[in-house]
Amino acid sequence: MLRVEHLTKVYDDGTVALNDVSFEVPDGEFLAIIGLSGSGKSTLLRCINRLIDPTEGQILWNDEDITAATHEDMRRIRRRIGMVFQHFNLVSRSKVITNVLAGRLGYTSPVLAIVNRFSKADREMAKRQLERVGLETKANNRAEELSGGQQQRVGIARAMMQEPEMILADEPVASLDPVLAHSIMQYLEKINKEDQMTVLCSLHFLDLVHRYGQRVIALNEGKVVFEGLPSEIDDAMFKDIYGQEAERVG
Amino acid sequence: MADTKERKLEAAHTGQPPPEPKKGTPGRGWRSILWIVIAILAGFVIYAYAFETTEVSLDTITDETRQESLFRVIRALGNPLLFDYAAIDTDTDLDYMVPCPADGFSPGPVRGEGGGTLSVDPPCADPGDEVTVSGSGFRGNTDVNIYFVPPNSIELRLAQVRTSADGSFEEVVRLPNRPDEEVQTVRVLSRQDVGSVFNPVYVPSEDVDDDTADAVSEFLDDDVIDSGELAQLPEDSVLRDPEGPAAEALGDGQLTEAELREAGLQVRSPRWHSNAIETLDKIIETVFLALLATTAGTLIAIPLSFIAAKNLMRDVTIPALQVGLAIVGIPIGILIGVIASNLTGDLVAALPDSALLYGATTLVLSWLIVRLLRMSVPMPGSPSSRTLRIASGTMAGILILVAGQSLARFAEVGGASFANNVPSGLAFLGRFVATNGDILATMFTILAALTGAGIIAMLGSRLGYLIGGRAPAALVNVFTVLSMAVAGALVALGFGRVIAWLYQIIDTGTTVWIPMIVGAVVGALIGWRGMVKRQVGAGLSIYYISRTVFNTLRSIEPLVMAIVFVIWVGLGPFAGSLALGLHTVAALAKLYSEQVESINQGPLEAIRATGATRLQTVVYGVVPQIVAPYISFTMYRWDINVRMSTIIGFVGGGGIGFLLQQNIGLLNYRAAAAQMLAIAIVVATMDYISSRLRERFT
Repeated sequence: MLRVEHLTKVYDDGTVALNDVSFEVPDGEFLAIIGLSGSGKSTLLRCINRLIDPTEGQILWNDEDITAATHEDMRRIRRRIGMVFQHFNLVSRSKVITNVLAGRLGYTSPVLAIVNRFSKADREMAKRQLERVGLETKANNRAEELSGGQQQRVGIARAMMQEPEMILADEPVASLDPVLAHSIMQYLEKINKEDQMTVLCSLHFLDLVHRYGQRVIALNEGKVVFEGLPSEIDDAMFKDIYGQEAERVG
Repeated sequence: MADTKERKLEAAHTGQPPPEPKKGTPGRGWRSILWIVIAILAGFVIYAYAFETTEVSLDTITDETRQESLFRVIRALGNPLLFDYAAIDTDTDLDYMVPCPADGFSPGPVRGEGGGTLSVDPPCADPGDEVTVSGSGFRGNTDVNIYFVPPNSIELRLAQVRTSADGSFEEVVRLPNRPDEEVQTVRVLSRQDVGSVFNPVYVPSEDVDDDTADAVSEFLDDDVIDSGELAQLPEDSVLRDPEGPAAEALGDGQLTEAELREAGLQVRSPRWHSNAIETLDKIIETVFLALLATTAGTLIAIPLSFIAAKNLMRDVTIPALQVGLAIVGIPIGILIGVIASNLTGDLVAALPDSALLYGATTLVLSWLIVRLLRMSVPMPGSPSSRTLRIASGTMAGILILVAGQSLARFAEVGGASFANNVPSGLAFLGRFVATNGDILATMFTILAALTGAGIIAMLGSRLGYLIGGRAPAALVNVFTVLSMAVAGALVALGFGRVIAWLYQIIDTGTTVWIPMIVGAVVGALIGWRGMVKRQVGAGLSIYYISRTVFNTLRSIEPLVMAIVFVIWVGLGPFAGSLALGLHTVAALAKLYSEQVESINQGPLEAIRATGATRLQTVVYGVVPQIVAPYISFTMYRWDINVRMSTIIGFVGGGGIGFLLQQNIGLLNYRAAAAQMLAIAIVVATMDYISSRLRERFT
């Protein structure tokens, strides 16, 4: 169970990215987060694994206060939270297999990682994860040689290397064309269903929300403006979320 | 880019085209015309003054004598002194009388073997008169010297002229003031080079040096005569005149052409001029000077570049208490490191001086260290107790010190004995190893001090972390202010000592107490602030300090640094490589760190999200992104260093610049041209290689 309570983030330049955000995510749920660019979706996701330190509020995960965790606690917490990014965030010059293995760094002794050593078990696991996303033949290619969809699959494999209990997906398909978008979303759905993994996924397109989201929260200017089932988003609600001039395209 | 994307996305939602950016239409009123006029006038004044200060003058450019000097230099540059030609001098003499005898004088026939004819008009004249010397039948397009030879046979040069294509010349010369009743001589000396690059010939050697003399003696000893006979031979006659009586005494026809050449009694014409050989020698020195400077500079610049990268350092914030305790730990750590290094050094020095023993010790210890290190690293699946890990880690640390010292001694002793027992041509390898052993031994004390400082500082920071996590808030605040005050006092004391040393101040009030009090107050204030904000921007402080140092060092030209290093380590390439190396460190550290700053931050975020430590993030997220640009910058820097090292000799920093400057100073432009040619070849080659390599790595 993930509980976000009165979360507020004010950046140094005074921008209020999150304003008193509270919600709950039960284990194993696929939660879609929608909202315009700049509505605070990315900030919210990054507060959960403390890539960004929130200004106020609490995040409780399995009754542990993430916001109060020390550096060392964060290493332990972060390795159980996988993250998938809009721009994949692979090290483009490294091999695919190295990128996948990087997901294991939270478990590896820092000393051994310097000399580029991973245990045999980790290597086996990386191969399995690559097989799972159908990229076992690309293991020794450089990440930059892969197409966008393939790169995102590597990103998912990297997150899965963490053996996470939760996945944070920050607009995972916004840089992909619609066909690839569905294939990536299906991977996430599969992980959610088969591994009972909690998924928090920010999305742009409503049709993807309807298709994959079990529940939705909508952010507008840092505030939660909607929380409920995807089917409950009607035209009026849509205009609340996206502004009065918006028209539904998806 | 992000903007346009967002605009597009918004457009997708709102269904409206993105607004077109407005196009401004600049007005061309009288105001702008006025500005243009003012700008033109200002430009006129600026360039007029620039011409004045730089003394631009077309007169000097077109001046004929200056042009003549320029052409002489250019001709010399076009004809670099690379080959040494054997020359045959031919004299052509004509009788002459100064002053004219009362009954007139008619000169005898022209004497000389060159076949040239010579006449002087008039056939006799008074001292100081101008006469016309003309000749024909000489070699075309060569310089001939006209001499006046009085009865004492000391030649007085009157002129040097160049013959026309058909070998004739005519020159008006002024006779010297040497009246004599005897017949004197006008002499034309024409010098002719023998052989050409494509068609070399062998001529009898004029001069045989000691080495050749030895070689010849040996040669004769082995092949022609026995040592008894050789001892009786007048050495000079053998060596200086291969056709002389001594050579005949060795037995006619026993020496073949090839043997004569081998013995150095005949030399090839042309052969490489000593200037060419020196140039080659020095250009090699130059390239290696640049190589050393680049290598050393790169190795030091790489770790420094990370602490000078803003994006890596910005987020490094540490609780003030930890900062304070870490700083307090540094001098303690340095002390411990130096003591440990000295103790282990003494221990190793107590061993008998045997390379074998040192080598064996190093090997055994290395094996032990690896085992201990394995024990000290927490391995997944093999739970080892904390105490065991700490104990084995400490033991490994001590053994590393011993092993390092013993490796240094191994290199020193082994290298020296290698150098003494191999042919002299290979001894430099042994000397290289020995010098590196020496460097390692010195470095080890420094490394031990730094490591000690690092470890104790880390322990201090760890202690601060523990206190911060457990003690009540009020106590933590007190500790914070206290520790920062002590830390500030220590840092200020360090500065005070440096200033005391620099300005030779003995008064302890100004250099010890005042700085310490000021430092303590400043430290306490920072601690106070840190107490409120909890965190101190340690990363940014380090970033600004290191950037300032790099920028200062970088702005001092290597030539200037070389002057300082020449004073320190003396004239020669070592001073040059130190100067270039230091500049390389500063320049590369800045270039590298800018490269680190421009990396894609996304992967770092992703790797941080996996729970990786800061170090792991650097190794997996930063390093792969910067390897290629680092290699490319290093090649570029080597390229620059080669160019710099060609002139660092101007201030005594070794390399080819020394020769170049010397030859220019002696107006020996043809010799200087050889050095310029060498520089051009090397720089162009380096440029080509480095650009090719950089292409592959970007």
